[in-house]
Amino acid sequence: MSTNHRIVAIGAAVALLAYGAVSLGDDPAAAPPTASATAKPDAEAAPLSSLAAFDASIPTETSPTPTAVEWRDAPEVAPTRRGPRASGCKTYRVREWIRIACSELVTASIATLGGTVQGNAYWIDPQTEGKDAKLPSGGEMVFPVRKGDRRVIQILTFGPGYEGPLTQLPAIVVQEHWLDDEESPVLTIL
Amino acid sequence: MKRCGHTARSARRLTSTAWLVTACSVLVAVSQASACGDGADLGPAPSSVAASSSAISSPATTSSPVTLQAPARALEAPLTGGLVARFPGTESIVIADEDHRALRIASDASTVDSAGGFATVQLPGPPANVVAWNDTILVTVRDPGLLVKLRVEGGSVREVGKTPLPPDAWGLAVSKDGKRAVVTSAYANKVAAVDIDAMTADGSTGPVWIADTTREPRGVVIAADGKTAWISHIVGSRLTKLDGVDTSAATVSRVDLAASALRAPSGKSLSAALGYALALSPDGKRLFAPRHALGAMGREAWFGAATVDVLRTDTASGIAPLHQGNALMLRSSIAKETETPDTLANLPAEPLAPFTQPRDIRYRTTTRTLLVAGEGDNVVAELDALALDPTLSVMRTYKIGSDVDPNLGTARSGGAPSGIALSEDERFAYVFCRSTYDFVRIPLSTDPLSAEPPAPIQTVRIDTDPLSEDAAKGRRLFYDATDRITSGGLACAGCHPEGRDDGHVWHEASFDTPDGGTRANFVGTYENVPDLAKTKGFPRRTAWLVGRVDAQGPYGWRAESATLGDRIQAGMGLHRWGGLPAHEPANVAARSAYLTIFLRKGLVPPARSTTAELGPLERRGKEVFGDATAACASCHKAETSFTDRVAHPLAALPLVRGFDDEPKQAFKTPSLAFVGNRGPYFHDGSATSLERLIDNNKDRMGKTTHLSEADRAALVAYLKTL
Ligand code: HEC
Ligand code: HEC
Repeated sequence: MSTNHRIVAIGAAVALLAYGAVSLGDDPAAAPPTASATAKPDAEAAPLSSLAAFDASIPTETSPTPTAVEWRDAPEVAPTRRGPRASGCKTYRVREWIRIACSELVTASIATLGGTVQGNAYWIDPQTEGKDAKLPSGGEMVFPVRKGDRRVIQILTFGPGYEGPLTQLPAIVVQEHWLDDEESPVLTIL
Repeated sequence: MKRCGHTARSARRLTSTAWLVTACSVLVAVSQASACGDGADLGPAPSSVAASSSAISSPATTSSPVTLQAPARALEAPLTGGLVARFPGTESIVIADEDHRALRIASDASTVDSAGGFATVQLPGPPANVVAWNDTILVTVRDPGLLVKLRVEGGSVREVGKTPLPPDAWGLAVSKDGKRAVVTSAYANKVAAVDIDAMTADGSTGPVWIADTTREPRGVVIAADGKTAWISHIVGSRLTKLDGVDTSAATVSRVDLAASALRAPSGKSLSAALGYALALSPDGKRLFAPRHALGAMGREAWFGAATVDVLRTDTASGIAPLHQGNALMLRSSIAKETETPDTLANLPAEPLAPFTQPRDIRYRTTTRTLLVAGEGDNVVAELDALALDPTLSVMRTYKIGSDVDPNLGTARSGGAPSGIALSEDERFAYVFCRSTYDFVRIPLSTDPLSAEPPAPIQTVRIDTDPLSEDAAKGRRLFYDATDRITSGGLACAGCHPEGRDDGHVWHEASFDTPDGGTRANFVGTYENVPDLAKTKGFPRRTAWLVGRVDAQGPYGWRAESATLGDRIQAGMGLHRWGGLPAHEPANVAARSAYLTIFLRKGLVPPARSTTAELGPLERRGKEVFGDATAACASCHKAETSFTDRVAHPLAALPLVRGFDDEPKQAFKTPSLAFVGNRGPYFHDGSATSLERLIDNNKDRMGKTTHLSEADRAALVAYLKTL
């Protein structure tokens, strides 16, 4: 959990940050959410039934990307659905911003498959170098939930497959939308 | 008519079952009754066969009562037809069994455990879709085109009304007030509305309105307000929207719905096939369209991908965003180091076929999920109905195919699931399997995401195949996408639905695959071919099979296969990514032999208009077609199904974008049987209609430049009768 996160973004609003990361957002100066988080989250996320719904009294005004301190104090919330593959992924909310952290997931890549990219930022924990080098474990994403949005984001992991032991395989698909005929947003992590 | 004997036999078997719950009340059409005779050669005729001279309008006789658990109550929602319909408020179901020309009724689908639990009702023709409520059953009959209304009364089923419809009546939905039915006619490219209360026993009342659609309208749903209906097509990705369904003339519009938007090549909108069914969300805001996305991208995506596309009904727009090749992406350093050109990190990595050849769909309200029947891989998949792309959020897969034939790789039980109904409490799915005639009861989990293993399914064989054992093997192969020798994941029925065609122009492309060697494979779009191969492929419009496979040969657009069996074997090499897996030549030969039998005996030509007489325009067209100057008949020989089966070197057509130029321009004269309703035409699909084909022909085939406008119109009118 250092300043070593690699963030890549493509698009008009690309800005390089001090710690070598790039994001595409309303407020590119924001720090990666876990940069100053105190402790690594637990591996298992809480059961959804014990959490407040992610969209409970979600504000409709646009606000800047939360700060690291705000993320640290953010409560875990329940997405609309969470599948077994995402049982280790925790969802947090600050104002209209959502952060999904899959801290134990070996993360090969995080890709926008389609939809809104404004405000999206992705992180992958760096792999450890040297003789006990390990695969990067821990992927995170942050995006705002705003009326009119729709986005589909995929996290790939590594596993044995058609390209050998380090084949990029499907791990998690995040789908978020709040179309203007919907009263509330939908967030599914499967 | 050969099937009559079989049907009578199976009816007898049913009635003799000791604990029969419901009986065989049988309706026999006049023609069928006479063809079946009195069943003398079958021993004592079953008492349930009513060979009455005015059979379809007379009460059917029953040997024991057909019982329904039918509390009469108002409909709570519009009804969407399918191969399986449940009577709302009960567990009674009715199944449309097209191949046996019968309805199968079970009074309690939640407990039925033997064929004897199903009563059989013979119909005047093959049924397609059915709906049921209270004591009423409505069923579409394909040939002749009919909507038939049946009543279950006093233990018997009798026909109380019928409405003649354009031929090949297929899809069916009923408005919430139970007064209006909307019916699609698949081969006729039409949709009609029927006033259900006005249906008469003698069929004297026609539809309220009939409207034209594009090719192969199939599934239909009606909105809760009864004003709007939506139609899916098995050819093309667009839907048809009907407004004013409740009036005396609906308006028809076309609605674009990109297939598998997230898997489309960047910036492109894909076409689709196999749109057999639709489902609406209970609030009517979302319309779900399962189909096959032609050319969808993914790993080894030669055929495309199965998809459920979601339409927002208020704006008539798809909700899934289109794939953009350069969207925001982050790769770990190891990913960057290990990536190859085959890595598709910004395309869905989920399997291309969470189900193959979607055939029916039902919305499960209690879980907000969708159940989709995969005809090709014998599964029912449960998907997230809340997702932008439900196929990327598969929640559960129920495998229902079993008893795999060790020689052919096809399921001998639970094959080709084609219709689904949900139980009243939505804890069970009731499924009908088209290639094995099984009823399957699937216990559904109340939490489709839970880790608990699925409870065992129950399978009841309702009947045996109406054809010979060899043809039955061919039938199972025709629908099956799992056997790796027959294809690389898409069955014959995936491109030749019902032996017809998908209207698609495939790319026959030669490229290297990791299994070694360069081979010709069919791909959906040129973007499916690896960039390195630098080829787009040659255009090959899918051939129409039914009614055109009797000749000895040759087959193929190039007339390259001497016999039907040779062409089927050639196809096994083409329909995949790379080469065939290791096999004995006899394995391939056996498959093609069974398929040959099924293609010739089992495919049923579409019903057509019953007026055999040509009108004056068509007669003039026939003269033009046959005369020596136009010379059409010199190649399209009437006596051999309008083809001479010879490859002719015609002048090259302008190159169609997205394909490679072909050095050799000689193509087999295609048969013109059923040519009317199945564009686009030519091997490259470049002629979108017969009118345009004739207008642009110049003197490429025969001679048309000398024809007056009236004679061209006459020629087209005649072609449409073939
Ligand atoms: C991927 C789509 C696809 C699949 C799957 C497919 N076909 Fe075809 N079929 C085509 C196309 C395209 C053509 C025309 C190509 C040609 O003739 O060069 C064709 C041509 C044929 C022909 C030749 C018809 C004629 O009149 O010359 C036969 C017969 C045939 N298919 C049978 C089958 C059978 C049987 C199967 C299943 C084993 C099957 N096809 C699977 C696309 C498909
Ligand atoms: C020299 C032989 C020959 C003659 C004469 C001929 N045709 Fe054809 N016809 C063909 C061939 C070969 C094709 C396929 C060409 C292609 O796909 O590029 C074809 C295709 C067609 C098709 C499209 C069928 C399909 O399934 O795509 C129609 C319709 C047709 N012909 C009608 C006619 C009419 C009408 C005439 C008379 C004016 C005529 N043809 C004269 C050989 C002939």
